[in-house]
Amino acid sequence: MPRPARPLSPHLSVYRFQWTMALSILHRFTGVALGAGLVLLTWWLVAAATSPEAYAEVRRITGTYAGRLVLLGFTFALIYHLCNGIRHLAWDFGVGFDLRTARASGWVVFLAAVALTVGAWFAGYAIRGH
Amino acid sequence: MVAFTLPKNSKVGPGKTHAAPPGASNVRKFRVYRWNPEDGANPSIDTFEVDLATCGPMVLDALIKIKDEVDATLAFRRSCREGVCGSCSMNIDGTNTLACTKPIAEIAGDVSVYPLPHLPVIKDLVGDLTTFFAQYASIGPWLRAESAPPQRRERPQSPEDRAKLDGLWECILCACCSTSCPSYWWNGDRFLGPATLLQAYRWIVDSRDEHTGERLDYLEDPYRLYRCHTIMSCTATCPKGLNPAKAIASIKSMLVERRS
Amino acid sequence: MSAVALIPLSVWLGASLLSLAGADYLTFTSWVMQPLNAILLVLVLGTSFYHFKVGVDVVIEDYIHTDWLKMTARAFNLCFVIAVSAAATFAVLKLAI
Repeated sequence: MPRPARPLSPHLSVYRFQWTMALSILHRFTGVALGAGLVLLTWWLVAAATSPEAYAEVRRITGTYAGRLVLLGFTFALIYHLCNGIRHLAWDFGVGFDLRTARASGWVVFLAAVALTVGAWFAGYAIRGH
Repeated sequence: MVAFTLPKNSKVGPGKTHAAPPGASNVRKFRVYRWNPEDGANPSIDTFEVDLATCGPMVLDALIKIKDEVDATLAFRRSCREGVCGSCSMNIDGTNTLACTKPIAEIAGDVSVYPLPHLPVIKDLVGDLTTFFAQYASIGPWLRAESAPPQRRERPQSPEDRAKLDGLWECILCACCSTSCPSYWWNGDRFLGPATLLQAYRWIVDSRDEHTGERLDYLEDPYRLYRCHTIMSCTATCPKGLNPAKAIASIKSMLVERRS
Repeated sequence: MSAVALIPLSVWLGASLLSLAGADYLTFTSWVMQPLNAILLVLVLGTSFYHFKVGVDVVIEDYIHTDWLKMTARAFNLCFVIAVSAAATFAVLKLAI
């Protein structure tokens, strides 16, 4: 009797999600998302270069609640990717590989990104007033 | 495209439950991955109720007790039962470790036991490590030197140079780290994985080895080395407390330094 | 390394966008018209798109193993980056010059 094909042992579905793992995949996710952010930025610039009406349309759409929520997402993505990028640069110089350090630096990066995102939006609202 | 889910023949179904013997006083449930190559069925999870009052403290003790007293067909690798042989590596309670050095008391609730992740299963908890060891062999894991050693003596090494091997020589090739690495899951056919790369570094920094250049040449490849994205799962899971991620970073910086 | 260059550049971009959030047409265009802003904008766009291209290529190599699919995905990535970055750079230059 021919042997049945060997099954593949479970991986993603059984592996306990690690903090460093979560931050790693978040780095990748925010990086790809920032590509969409670049498209948005391009759309804004092209609209400004096209006509005041086109610009006003972009301004109206990004000013809606949904638009602002998307912008908030991009703000976090940019700040997180930037902070965690610095963490990766430190690793490139051989610094921070100790497991406890790597976990702690992950917390620092994550909390800093949240705090800076909130801070940036507070500052933005304070400057604009609405 | 990489498959993030299991293929059809690998989906895990429910299995049998073996109740604890009457009079058991301290029962813990062990949920164990089973696959039998003889019957052609899909893998399943069997539940074994084990009386910890009559069982040793480690997960391996429970598995041996199950094999002895409940189901002799349960297959797993084990040998030294003291964390130096690397045979009983498996996925316990969600992370890869050695069953012989993992205390049952460290686990809350049911104890889930799977083979090392993302390997072809030979039977039950025994994964196929052929590729893993072929990759290990590919780095030439032995001292390579052309110069003649001193007569009737071993090659000398200063205490400082010897110290560079600490944190590397202790690796027992249990494959916990490599099979915890998502990059190794998706690219295990081309990425060498943390264990093999740590071993590669062990020979690269050995002051007696004379093939450092060739060793670095072999690793300078987008897949063999550079699939490491510093996810740190390897270091988090190593049952010997080693740091493969750091060893890999050291190789990377040696390659950068070599170019400048 | 585009990552190192992007640390100061993206901080500058983030701060600038923050100060320009909700700005009207005149404010925005006159900001872009400042030579320093225009130069930095072109720089940050070029570096960001390059960084994105390199990063996504790694993601493609990680997850796509079929050769023709991998080549196609990488080609798409390159075309996308060239097209969008050209449009963005052109818009900045048109406003600034």
